[in-house]
Amino acid sequence: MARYLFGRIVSALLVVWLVVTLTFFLMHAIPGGPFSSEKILPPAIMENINQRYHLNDPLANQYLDYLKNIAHFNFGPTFRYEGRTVNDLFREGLPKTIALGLVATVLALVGGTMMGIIAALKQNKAPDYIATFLATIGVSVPSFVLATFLQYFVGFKTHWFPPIGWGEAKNLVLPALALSAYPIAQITRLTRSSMLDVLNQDYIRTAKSKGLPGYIIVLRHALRNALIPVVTFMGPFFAYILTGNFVVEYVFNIPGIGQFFVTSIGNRDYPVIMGTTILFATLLVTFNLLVDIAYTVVDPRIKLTGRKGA
Amino acid sequence: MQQLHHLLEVDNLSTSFFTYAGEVRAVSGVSFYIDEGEALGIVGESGCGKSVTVQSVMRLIPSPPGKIVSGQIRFLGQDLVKLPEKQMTTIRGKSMGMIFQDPMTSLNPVLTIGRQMTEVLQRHEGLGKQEAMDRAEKYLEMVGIPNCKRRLKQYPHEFSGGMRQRVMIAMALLCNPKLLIADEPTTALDVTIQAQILELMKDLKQKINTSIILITHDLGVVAGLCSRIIVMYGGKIVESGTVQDIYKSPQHPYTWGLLKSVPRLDALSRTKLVPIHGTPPDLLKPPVGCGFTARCAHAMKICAEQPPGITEINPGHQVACWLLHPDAPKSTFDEKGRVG
Ligand SMILES: Nc1ncnc2c1ncn2[C@@H]1O[C@H](COP(=O)(O)OP(=O)(O)O)[C@@H](O)[C@H]1O
Ligand code: SF4
Ligand SMILES: [Mg+2]
Repeated sequence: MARYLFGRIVSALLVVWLVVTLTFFLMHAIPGGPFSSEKILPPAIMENINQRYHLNDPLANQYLDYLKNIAHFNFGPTFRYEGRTVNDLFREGLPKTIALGLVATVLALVGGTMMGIIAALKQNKAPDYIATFLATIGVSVPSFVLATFLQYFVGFKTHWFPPIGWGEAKNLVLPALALSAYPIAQITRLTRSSMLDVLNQDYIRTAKSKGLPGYIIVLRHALRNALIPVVTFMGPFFAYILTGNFVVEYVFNIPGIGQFFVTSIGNRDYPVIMGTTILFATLLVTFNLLVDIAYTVVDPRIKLTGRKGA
Repeated sequence: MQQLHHLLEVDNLSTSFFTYAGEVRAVSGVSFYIDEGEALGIVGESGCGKSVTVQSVMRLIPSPPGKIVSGQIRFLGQDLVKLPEKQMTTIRGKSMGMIFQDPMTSLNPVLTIGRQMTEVLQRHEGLGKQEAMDRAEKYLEMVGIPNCKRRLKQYPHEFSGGMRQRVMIAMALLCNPKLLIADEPTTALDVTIQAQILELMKDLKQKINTSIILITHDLGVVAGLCSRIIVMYGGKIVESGTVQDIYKSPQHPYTWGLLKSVPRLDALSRTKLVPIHGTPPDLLKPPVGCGFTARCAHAMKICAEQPPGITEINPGHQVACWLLHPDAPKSTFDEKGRVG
């Protein structure tokens, strides 16, 4: 287990390094720079700026400097936010992004599994049809469409929830819904089908033959087995929450990391692009590791050696 | 000897599955009983309705599509057919336990053996965690599992097939049920393990006063354990009697066929196995007359036209076959397996 974890952490660092390197060189390969979009600056000033941010140094030097800095968790200055560093932006934006992501995750996991269980238990009855219908919508409607839709109808039109902004708990409702709709739908579908499969297994019949009441059979015997395929979806799920977050923060004007990321691309704000990319890559790699550990928790047959037990 | 009140008395039980293709009459008009401390064997080819019969008794028929269409199942003074599901859960696992054919899939892969065993005791006897663990340990020991304490913390995949079946047996016996139903408990196991499990069941039968219904499609398996045998064919009982009745003077052509397909235990007289040729009747469209007509070497005109009535050869030995009609030609079965 310890050996396995060590190996995984080393390979995770390797992945993050690859992401850093690729983004760095790709970004510099694209013509234009952070200050080229403005009205033409006098060459002297331009020179000054480039000097200040080391933009004239050889690329290799810039790259090595950058690696050195991020090793010390210093993501450098921002080009576009006067006098603030990328670390400042992180400190400001990350809590909001995490709050939104967390609420969306809980909503997706709880809502998705519950809808899946109910659909399976009421197979081919009204609750099943409703859950399947909602899941189909959730899977097929893109998050930006849903976000805009919720913002307009549930936000501006009915005033049930604030359509924009940040600060109170109710601000979270619409963005979290928009962000979690797709994973709720996927988890519902997965849970439903694996639950139906599990309920036909011999060990469920054994549990019944022991006289256990229905809720124990469902919660203790069926659900844990039914969740094994759902755990498989957790890797893509976290990736979705991270990327979906860009769109949702943008639409609902939430000053989180996602919004910084989107704006920084338009601005060619190299350090912010790099910083957020590294942050997201690190988060994703961490989540994937957690998912693998979660496997061993739900399924005792899996040992953390990457092999399945007999 | 028949007692006044049997432990379990199944009366005219019919269970069907209502599928898209129509009504599958898996069990039709089955009646039998079992007394306290007795072991009863149910034999018959696969698909003849053995599992559906005992699952009806346990009320474990998947519904839909399955349904007990008619009949009574009297157990401990109650008709289980009419019992609400909620009360049924207080009987299952407590007064009757069941073990299944495939020990590899019958235990929950994500729960420890200890958890799966103790939950029965917590449910039916309200035992605390430690007490339940102690009892579970005692029962694992009883079924011959070494290192029980450590084994309780393990998961099913850490056990071999034979060991899992022992766990299933221990688990079914935890609450000292009046009736243990074993549905082909050895079919999925290696021959040597089969013998061990049967030996264990014989041994347990001596020790505890539980009645046992043993299902098998192999007549050779029942003899050592059971005193009475029921032979099923096409969802009906075709012959029933004591082990002596069935082995020494079988009367139904289907029983003759089964006996001929049993491997002789003494290797010297090992004769060639003769499987019964032909296929069982289609239970979607059960034949009007005797279900065995198409495969029976002795079939007469009447066999296809009317179902045979039940003839009692001597007390307790019953046969459903036209050959036993006074006007029928004489056919008998001798011990070497020849039909004359
Ligand atoms: N879920 C089901 N749906 C439809 N038919 C079933 C179902 N379960 C059992 N049957 C039918 O019931 C008959 C008896 O099955 P079963 O009792 O399992 O046989 P066995 O004697 O091998 O235990 C079979 O012919 C099968 O076709
Ligand atoms: S009733 Fe007729 S067909 Fe059926 S077993 Fe007897 S002789 Fe054979
Ligand atoms: Mg069966």
